[in-house]
Amino acid sequence: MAVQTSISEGNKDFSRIPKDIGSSQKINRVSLTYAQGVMRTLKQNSLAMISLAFIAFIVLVAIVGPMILPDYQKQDLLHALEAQSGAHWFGTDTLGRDVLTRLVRGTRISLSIGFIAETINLVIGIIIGGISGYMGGKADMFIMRVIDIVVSIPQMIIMILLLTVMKGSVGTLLIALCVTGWTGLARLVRGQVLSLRENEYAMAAQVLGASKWRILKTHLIPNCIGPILVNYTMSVPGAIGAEAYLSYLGLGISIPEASWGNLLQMGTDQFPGALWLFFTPAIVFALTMLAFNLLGDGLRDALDPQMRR
Amino acid sequence: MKRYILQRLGIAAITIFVVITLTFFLMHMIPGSPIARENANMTEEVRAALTSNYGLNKPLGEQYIIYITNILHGNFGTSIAYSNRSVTDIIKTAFPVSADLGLRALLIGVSLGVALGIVSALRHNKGWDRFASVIAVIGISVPSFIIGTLLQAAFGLWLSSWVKDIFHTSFQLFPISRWESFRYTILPSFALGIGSIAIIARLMRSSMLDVIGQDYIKTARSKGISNTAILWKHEVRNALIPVVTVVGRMVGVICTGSFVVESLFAIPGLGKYYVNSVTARDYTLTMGLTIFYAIFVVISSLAVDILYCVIDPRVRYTGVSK
Amino acid sequence: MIVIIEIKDLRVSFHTYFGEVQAVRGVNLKLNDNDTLAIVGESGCGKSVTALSIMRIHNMETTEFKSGKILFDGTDLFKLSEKEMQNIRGNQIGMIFQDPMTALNPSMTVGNQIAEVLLRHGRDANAKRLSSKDAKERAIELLRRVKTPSPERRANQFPYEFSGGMLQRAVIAMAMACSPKVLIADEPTTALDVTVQAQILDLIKEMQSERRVSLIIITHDLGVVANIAKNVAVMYGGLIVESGAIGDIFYRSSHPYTRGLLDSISRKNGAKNEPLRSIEGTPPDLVDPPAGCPFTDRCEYAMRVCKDHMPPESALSETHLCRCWMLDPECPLKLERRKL
Repeated sequence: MAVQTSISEGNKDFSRIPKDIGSSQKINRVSLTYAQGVMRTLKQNSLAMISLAFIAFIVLVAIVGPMILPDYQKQDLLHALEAQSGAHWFGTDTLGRDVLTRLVRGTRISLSIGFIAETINLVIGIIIGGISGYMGGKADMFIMRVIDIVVSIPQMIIMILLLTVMKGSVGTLLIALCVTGWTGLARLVRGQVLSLRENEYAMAAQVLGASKWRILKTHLIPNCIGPILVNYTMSVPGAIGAEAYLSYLGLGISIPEASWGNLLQMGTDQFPGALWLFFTPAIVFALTMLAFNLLGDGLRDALDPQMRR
Repeated sequence: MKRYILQRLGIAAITIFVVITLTFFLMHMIPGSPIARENANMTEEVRAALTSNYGLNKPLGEQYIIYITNILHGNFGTSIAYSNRSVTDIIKTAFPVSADLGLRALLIGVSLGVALGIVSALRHNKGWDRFASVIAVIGISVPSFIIGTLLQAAFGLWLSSWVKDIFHTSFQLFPISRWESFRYTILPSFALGIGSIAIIARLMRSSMLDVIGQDYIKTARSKGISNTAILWKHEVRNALIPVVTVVGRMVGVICTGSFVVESLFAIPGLGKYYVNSVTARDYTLTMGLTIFYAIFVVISSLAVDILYCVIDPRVRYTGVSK
Repeated sequence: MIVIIEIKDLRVSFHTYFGEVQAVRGVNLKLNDNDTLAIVGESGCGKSVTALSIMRIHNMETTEFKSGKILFDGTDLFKLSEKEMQNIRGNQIGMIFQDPMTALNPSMTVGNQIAEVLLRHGRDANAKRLSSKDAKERAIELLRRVKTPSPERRANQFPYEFSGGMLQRAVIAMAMACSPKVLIADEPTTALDVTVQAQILDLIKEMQSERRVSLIIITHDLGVVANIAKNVAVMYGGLIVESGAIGDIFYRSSHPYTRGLLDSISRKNGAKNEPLRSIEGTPPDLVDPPAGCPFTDRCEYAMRVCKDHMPPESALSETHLCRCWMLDPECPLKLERRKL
């Protein structure tokens, strides 16, 4: 800076040095790869990190819990509708079943529905979207029109209709969730593939002689993976919520099987007489939904380089 | 533009046709369905009406054609559970209730959502923004039946017992069931509206942040326009454009009411009839309501999209056609 | 000569995700009344930031004015409140932006956007605020003045119905609406078609002489500079490396960077088959700017002293200043006169 010009006479070294283009092109700031940048931003987002930890915990409970706890269907009519106690930490329900055990079982069922349904949607969406974008032309037109139609039918109506016909179970719920659930992802993937086919940077890469695989690897996959990840994180709570909604209406998982939806249904039925029956599943359910949404938000912000200003 | 409208019309027609067909065949797949075969707990009159209306003694293909012709004539048949009422009649009484509830909820959602979105964009990454976005995430995460139950508990039970203790009156300021005067509408409207507050607040926030970063805001500042005028005339006005598009699309869905909120608050709207028809195995009513619901949602969203196109040619550049 | 704008030792930083970007690192500038000053340099050298500082319309959340002052007609703009500053913006100082397609509000008619500035600052013959009808009429008059065909109809149209060149005319009309004393034009022709560029430049020149406005034009195009400017400041790495009257820069340039810029434009009478020369490399990263001359790494004449010590500003004439160690009397190396 200007201050440093005051150097004593005769101390100036006027010997020539060569040009140093390399060092002028060196970026002095912390250089981050895309993934590193994403991770760094995500880690700074404490809400997202807490959410991630909570989801990990809840998943662990869903896996390990049912192995440790006793039978979730065991009835004990003598101790029906009892509040929290040493024997039943979260109380008992109308037929004297232990709420904690049922909650843990319900966690396993509800999370499974959420993850499995969205994984199926993910696969269908990627395949259909990929085909649509890659083939282009008439096939693309056709697929897009089909998607337009599927999207314009109110989703809840289709699910209710299907569940009126089929008996509510994990399997039928998965079918109901996957009939229409893949459209969002298919559109997203198609959009990415199409933009890749048309975009200048991909064309530039092709002109420069990059192989198809290289373009796929360096452009398509990195461009897709972020939005897909965000979409997935946001869709899982959607599926879990849909299960709760349907079970609440008496169309989802029916007792004696446990799910967050039918636990909540019983909770609202017994409200406000047996508060624990409502609040225990409601809190776990709401926190999980919150965690997924906050994590999804965090991911989306982290993946958007513009947010890193 | 003509092409766009024609294409949308075509898709809408196909969608409605698909829903009708799907409903018809799914309903015939149900074991024990009165439409599928004879059912013991039905009066002779109802059976006779059903047989003549749906042509139950005819082959499936013919029944399907009769069914479609009936719908085209606005005849959705007779309810099984409410034996003296036609489905059309039920829709006529229930739809206004649902639309009323839905529009109130939408009003709450839009006004509070837009306000919350503006505040959090202006306090970007500061306390208020964090607060507002947590509220928004909660609104999205917690389903309406939990919020509704909590509202019922807070206002219907705890507040009213407190009022009872102090004022010795059993007057309920916010009744928790039925749909009578304005007081009755408040809690259900909020229970239904909180979800849309959250959606609109988020959308408004990101839209505002986008607009604030635009060059034309810098231009406005370079003109010496005051910050308040910039906020309302330039920022909010432009940020509202995508919000209006989304709200327009919500109108159709929200006007048909809500299965959960109507059941929870005992509101005689479409949603409550729908849920009742499903649990009471009132198949004709389920079918009729499903089709009405689908037709209404499809047509209203079509109408909104076409309206945008006509009113504002810029939408074609920025929104709907995408 | 009256000095209308004087920038003294301006230092501006941005706080970003990557750290503090020292965008402007001690800039001194003077703009005389009814004069034209061009600020020239590559992207990211701090020229826009310097000009925007006069208006104080950066993103205030991330921008920090480290030091310095900007005197406008004798008042220090940094000491003014936001309200007082608003009375100056658009009224005493107007601004033209780079991309007219994004510089106008898409949901407001062009006429209303011009009228807006008139309603804010404009006064009629009796020094009263303008009515919205008068403002609208004046806006149409202004559109006519900047040669918009059928201005009455155009005033009611939205920006997307305009071409880029037409929009830039509207932006000029807006900036000139209140007859400001100073006009800042930030790359006014860069985003436009080549055929339109000359027309816009001519329009700016016309408006300038008609309304006696002092002009600061920011550009990387030396053709624009030659066309319009009387004085030139060459910026590099957040500093002014050379400044002077237009003749000083074009005929007596003494900084290797200025030389590089001049060599990189095509010349009518240049030797045949002589390739256009470019300056290799990129400007330094201002998150961690070099201690010495920022141009060292790309300079053909780089010396050891350049790397670690900032060259002092040497006055070559009354108007001509240059920051280069080769101008040091002790330096054995001298830049030869430029061959024309």
